[in-house]
Amino acid sequence: MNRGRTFYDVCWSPKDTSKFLTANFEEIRLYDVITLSPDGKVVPGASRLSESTAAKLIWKTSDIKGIRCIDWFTKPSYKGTLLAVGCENGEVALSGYGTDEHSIRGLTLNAKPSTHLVRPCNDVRWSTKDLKLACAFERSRGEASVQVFDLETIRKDDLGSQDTIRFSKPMVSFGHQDAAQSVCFTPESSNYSSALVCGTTARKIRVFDIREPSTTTVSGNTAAIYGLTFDPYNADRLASHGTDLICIWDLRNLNTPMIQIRDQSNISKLRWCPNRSNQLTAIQYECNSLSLFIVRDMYLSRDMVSDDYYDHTVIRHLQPRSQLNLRSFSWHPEAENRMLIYDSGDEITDYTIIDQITLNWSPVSEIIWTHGKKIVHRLHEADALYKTIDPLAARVRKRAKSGFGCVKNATNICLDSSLIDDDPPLLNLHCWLKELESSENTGPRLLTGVYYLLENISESTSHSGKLALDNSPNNVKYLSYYDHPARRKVMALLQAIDHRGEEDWAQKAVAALFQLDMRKVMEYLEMPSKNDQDLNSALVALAISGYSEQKGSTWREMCATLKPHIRNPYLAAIFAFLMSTSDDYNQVLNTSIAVQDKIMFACRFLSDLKLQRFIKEQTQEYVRAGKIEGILLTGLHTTSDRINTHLLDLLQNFVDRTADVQAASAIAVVTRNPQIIGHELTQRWIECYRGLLNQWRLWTERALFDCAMAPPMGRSVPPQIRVHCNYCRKPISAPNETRGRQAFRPAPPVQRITSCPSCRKPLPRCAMCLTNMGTPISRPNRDLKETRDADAVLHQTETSQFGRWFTWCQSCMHGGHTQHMAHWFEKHEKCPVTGCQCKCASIDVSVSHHLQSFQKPAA
Amino acid sequence: MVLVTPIDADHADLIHDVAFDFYGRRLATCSSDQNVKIFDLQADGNWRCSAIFKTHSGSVWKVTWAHPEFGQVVATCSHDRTAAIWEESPNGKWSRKANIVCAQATLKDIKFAPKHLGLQLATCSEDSRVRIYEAPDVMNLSTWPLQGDIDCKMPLSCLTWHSNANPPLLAIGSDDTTNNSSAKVHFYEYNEGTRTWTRLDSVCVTDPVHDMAFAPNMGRSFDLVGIASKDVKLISVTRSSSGQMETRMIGEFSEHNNHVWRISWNIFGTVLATSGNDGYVRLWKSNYAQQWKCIVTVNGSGQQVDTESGFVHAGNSIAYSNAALSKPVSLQY
Repeated sequence: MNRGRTFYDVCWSPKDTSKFLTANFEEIRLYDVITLSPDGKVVPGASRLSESTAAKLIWKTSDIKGIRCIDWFTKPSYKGTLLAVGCENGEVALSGYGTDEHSIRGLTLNAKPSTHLVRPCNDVRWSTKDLKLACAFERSRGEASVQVFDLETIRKDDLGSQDTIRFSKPMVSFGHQDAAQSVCFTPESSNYSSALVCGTTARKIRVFDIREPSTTTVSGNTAAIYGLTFDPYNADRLASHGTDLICIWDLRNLNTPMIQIRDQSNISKLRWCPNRSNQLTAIQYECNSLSLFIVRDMYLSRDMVSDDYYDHTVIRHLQPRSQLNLRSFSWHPEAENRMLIYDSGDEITDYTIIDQITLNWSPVSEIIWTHGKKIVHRLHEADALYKTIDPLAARVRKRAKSGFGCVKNATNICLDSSLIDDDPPLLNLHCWLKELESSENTGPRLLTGVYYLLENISESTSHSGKLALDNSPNNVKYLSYYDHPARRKVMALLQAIDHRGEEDWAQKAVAALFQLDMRKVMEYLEMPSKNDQDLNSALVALAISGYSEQKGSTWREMCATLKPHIRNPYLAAIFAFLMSTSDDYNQVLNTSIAVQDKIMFACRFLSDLKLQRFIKEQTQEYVRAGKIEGILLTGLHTTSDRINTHLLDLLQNFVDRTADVQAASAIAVVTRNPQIIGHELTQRWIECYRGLLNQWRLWTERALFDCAMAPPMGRSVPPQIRVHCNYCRKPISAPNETRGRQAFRPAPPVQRITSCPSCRKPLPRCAMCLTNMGTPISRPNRDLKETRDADAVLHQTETSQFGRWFTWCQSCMHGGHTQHMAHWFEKHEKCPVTGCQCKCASIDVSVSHHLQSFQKPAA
Repeated sequence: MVLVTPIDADHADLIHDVAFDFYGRRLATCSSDQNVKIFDLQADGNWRCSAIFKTHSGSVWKVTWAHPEFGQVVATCSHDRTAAIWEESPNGKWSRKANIVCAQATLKDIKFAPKHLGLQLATCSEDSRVRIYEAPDVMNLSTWPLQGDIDCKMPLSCLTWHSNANPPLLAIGSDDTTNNSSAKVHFYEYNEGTRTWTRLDSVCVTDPVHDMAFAPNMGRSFDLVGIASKDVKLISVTRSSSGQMETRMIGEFSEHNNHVWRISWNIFGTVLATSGNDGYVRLWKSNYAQQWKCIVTVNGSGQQVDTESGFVHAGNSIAYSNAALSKPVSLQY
């Protein structure tokens, strides 16, 4: 619409949303939008708009030259397509396609004899109500720059049968002084229902009333005189733009714009978003980005505004056509976020702006995200997909609910084996604990790790052993093994945690081999082949039986070439062991067999020095990797009173890696070592785990866990609540004060007290029975008639002594015996004290509910 | 295949935030239609809307729940520059307890402090300030004196509290588009002695930051911060014994191909969820070698999309993140 710029526009049909038009300087095209079949193939003759839509040209015209502006008649009752086209030469042509009930198409308005000074048409706009058309023109002497044509009247009168009818008499015209740049009818629902707004080159926005052309309202000076557009959500608000300025106006007060936006430049088109409130869209000349911004709400008071800059927020800059500059856009009138984009590559794109998705993750395993303005999607723990996403939470919750890491009985701490079946390292730990439990050892329960057991090993006795396959002297492997009490201890420990089943034949074979029992090895290796499962092992057995001690023998060569192909680490270990020469067992130790098998091996065949080094290396490795298997090495306890730093480091690395604070804190608690439990790191894991249980509302589980933790900590818990005398401030349960935990227990019936034990002032009275608290209670008379339920209650409360204890409303502080209060609130909502308006029972719904359940324990 | 269940939130305009309460049993949504809706989890596992209230005269950007020990309290912040505190009375009615009018510009984010700091509330605004308020009396939510005021000298977009740091630690992000060279992520710590917030560190993220989240600490010796910027960034934060802060970029993932809007952690801080301009929700998880991968991609309407190509992408990004691993982010600011 600016001078000197070539005109391009794209526009959705306001009525039939499957049509749109494109227009440029010399041509108008009308397209039909077709939805593509799921395979996404484009119908011949159509051009692709987006992944799922294409456009088919249905009509085009190049009759009208020098197009500068175009508007589509919006009235739904009008069936055909009626366009008003403003031209360079000042003509306004009516054009269109389809049925034309008014037959005014082809009409040219405001045609001038060629001698006249040409004044281009700047803007055309249809009224939304009827066939009125407003046109804005450049300035010309003696002629109004804004003309309104009423086409309803035209068609009745002097339309003949000519092809082009020229018609130039406007219904009304205004603005003789200045040229008009843009024009717009006010919406029906606005305060000025039949007015016309126009932006004039005299830097004013003017409002004319069509019925009374002489009355105008004029705005203050502004550069924003182009592209007038009304807010679809507020009929009295409109936006206009200048080259570097956007103004938002209140139609009722045009003196100053409500909002001025200055941080945009070179604006070429500005539109309100049709289905988002307070949201504007703008594009710029020679620019590839589309800006969406939100402006201050219309009804937000002006006095809060201190700085223009903050009236709007740019929420997004989009580049729908990446590097291509945008010429024009058009919002889809109905579909959310859908628009057509006309880019400098002369292509039209059906573009859908993807709304910002906001998401959040619930503490109880639920992800939730939004989709547009209506729908929130949730991905819940129960959904199949979720299980693959976060298995940890499900596992921790399942374990927590089954009492993992909690007190099972007074001394035993539960790492229940059924819960940790899927977790071999924990299962090992469990077996270890079990073993200790079953041993008759009454001394302190210590789970000293291999590392600490072998820490200072020296003077192991060396024995020579032989590995004989048969009696032939050729096939005997001579080797030395070591013995030491500490080594024996370690091996006993390893055997204790051994829980191999039938299918672990390879492991068993290896274990037997390390015991130098070749017969057993063969037996184990034959086991699977009996079931025809794995012939491989039988072949291995066959190969082993051909063992030869001689270096360079064919057997050795064959084994060396075959070894890399053996996938089972245990079979590989067997070969490595058989092929090893004189104390060099690195081959065996480097196979990927389980750590306990390696330790078992090392304990038997490595010399003190090598053993120590091996164990130290292994410990460091497992600690660094934070693997629970390594607890075998670090143990839960050290040999002396030192703090087990290796264990702490290992657990910290484990937590860093997996975030499984549950396992870490359970293991720490299992040590029952105050040094470990009291350690800063442990306390952090425990706090995190307790927080987790609280957040999951597993309060019982948390309390049980607290109990599991408490004995080794040996902390004394101060009483939480006391009842004290109103006069002397001494607790009324004074005789028990030294034993703080009993402070909340009522005085025993034998030494029933009705007054403060220290100052002898009477205790307050019960609001129901009006006796002093502490006195034996009598049942209210009416209760005698009531059912046996009440008796049961009374009986129970008497035994628990809770019924005669103090109860009071936290709000009005009136109260009395618990049982009396319970009876009262069974039927009443208000406080039993005369004149007190407090609705005690309704204040805390959960409490009244609880009282009811207290009333009917039999149910 | 649709894998998710929809809830009909039925707002009249775009929903800007959804927030769970501490237990994950209540849900608050806020929208451009200026309303906040509260949903409660029913016994049958469905969500039911229990309250709607108009909070502001502008788009409501964020909503956040206070810890339940302070009552059922939500705070909202809005384009109209105000923050509001709402409390539910025992009969289920929500009432506005306070309106905080301090900011000179739209309030972009609001977060309650972790419970151990009391009832504290931090807001950040486009006028480049973070303001921290505290309700001195938790029984009276109508007064919220200003406790701290941080001037970050750039328009701010998001903030996140460390879940259990003492002294309190805040990470603040900016979506300033005018200055492309300055760092947009800052860490501030409260100094008990001087009673001021001091900047500990800034991270050299120069693209605008839209959202940030500290991963729940869960006893780790370091902290993870997810940053939604032009791509998903993951930063590990360690504190030395002297209190020095060291940040290290763990990964940068550009699968969203565009700006990333929101970021959220699971309760263990092991899985990260992000949503981006490409209209997808992606979930990220680290493998045994501590390398983060995109494990699931779901589009906005809840359909899982080509995990296959997702993995191809993830493979690329791992190579990329390895490169990023080798150079720690510079610590100067």
